[in-house]
Amino acid sequence: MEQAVSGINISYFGAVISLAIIVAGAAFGISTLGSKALDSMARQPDIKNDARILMILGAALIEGVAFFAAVACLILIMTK
Amino acid sequence: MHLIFLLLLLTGSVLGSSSNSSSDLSGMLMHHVSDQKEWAILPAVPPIPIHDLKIGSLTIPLTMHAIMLVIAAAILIIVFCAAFSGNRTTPGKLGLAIEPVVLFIRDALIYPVMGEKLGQKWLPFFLTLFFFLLTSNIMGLIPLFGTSTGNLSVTTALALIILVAIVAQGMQSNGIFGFFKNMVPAGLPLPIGIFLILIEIPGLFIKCSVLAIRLFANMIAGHFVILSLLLLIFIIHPAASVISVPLALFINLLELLVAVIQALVFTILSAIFISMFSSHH
Repeated sequence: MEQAVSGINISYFGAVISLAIIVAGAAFGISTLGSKALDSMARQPDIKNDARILMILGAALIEGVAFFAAVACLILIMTK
Repeated sequence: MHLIFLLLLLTGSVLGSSSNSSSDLSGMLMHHVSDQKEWAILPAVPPIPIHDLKIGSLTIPLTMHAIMLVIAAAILIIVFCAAFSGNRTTPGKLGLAIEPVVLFIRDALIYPVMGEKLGQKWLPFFLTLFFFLLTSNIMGLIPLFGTSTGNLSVTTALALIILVAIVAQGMQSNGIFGFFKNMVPAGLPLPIGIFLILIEIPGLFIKCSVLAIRLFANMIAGHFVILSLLLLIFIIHPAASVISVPLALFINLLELLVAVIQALVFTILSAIFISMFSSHH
């Protein structure tokens, strides 16, 4: 079967779909983390300072995984 | 009104400063993000070429990011020597500005994680690391300079320093074999213990490389998004600058927050790793 449309590489499709799923997973994780942190801060306001640092730390760790996947997908897009 | 005009001028100057007038847009984007052998200061002035450093028979190849490292170090030395110099009993104005940051890192990040004794030993290292990363990250947002932490080699070098620090402190606290025995819980049979150690050692390397990649990707992603938004002006129509430039402004502000947070996260994770691998049972 001939390729009707020339020049469109199907690996772009896979890279972009996987990037979207990974970033959606990271956003879901960080939103859960933020909501639980705010709940705990409302329940016990003494913890505010510690919980704030732990929340930012957790968000940065999850974001690190998402950025790792983003860099891998970007490399896939740039070199194909 | 003046602000909008200034922003348009800045973006035009940033994008027009590429000396090779190639109409290749992804090439222009990579040229602004990656390392170069010349330093483009102003749009109309030709960029300054950077020569290699020759000491005897050795050649150190210098690029723009290497010079940014030296500039960040010079800024740190000048600011901190001016703030805390001499026999002061009360801090001066610059010292009053920096002191809350130093106390925050000491009391909220290092001492709760590492304890008093280990924290006092490692505190100067972490303060240097945090302020160096903060300076390098923020220097990437100023149009004259470049992001030296936006280079994978620089962040890998920092992660290698942290790896050496982890192993050195672990072997000093627990002994050479105690460093490996510390990775598994006590009282396990020998085959399971060896298996767990064989899993923990690549885990150590992966933790340090993820430190490097997290910092690099956060810095690069901000610049990528800003440059992509501004290159939309070239792709679609010059009138798209009405949408692109305010969006690029907001992403610049977000990038400022990300710069501070990533410096903090690198420091606190290094402290956590060092204390994790050097704790006594």
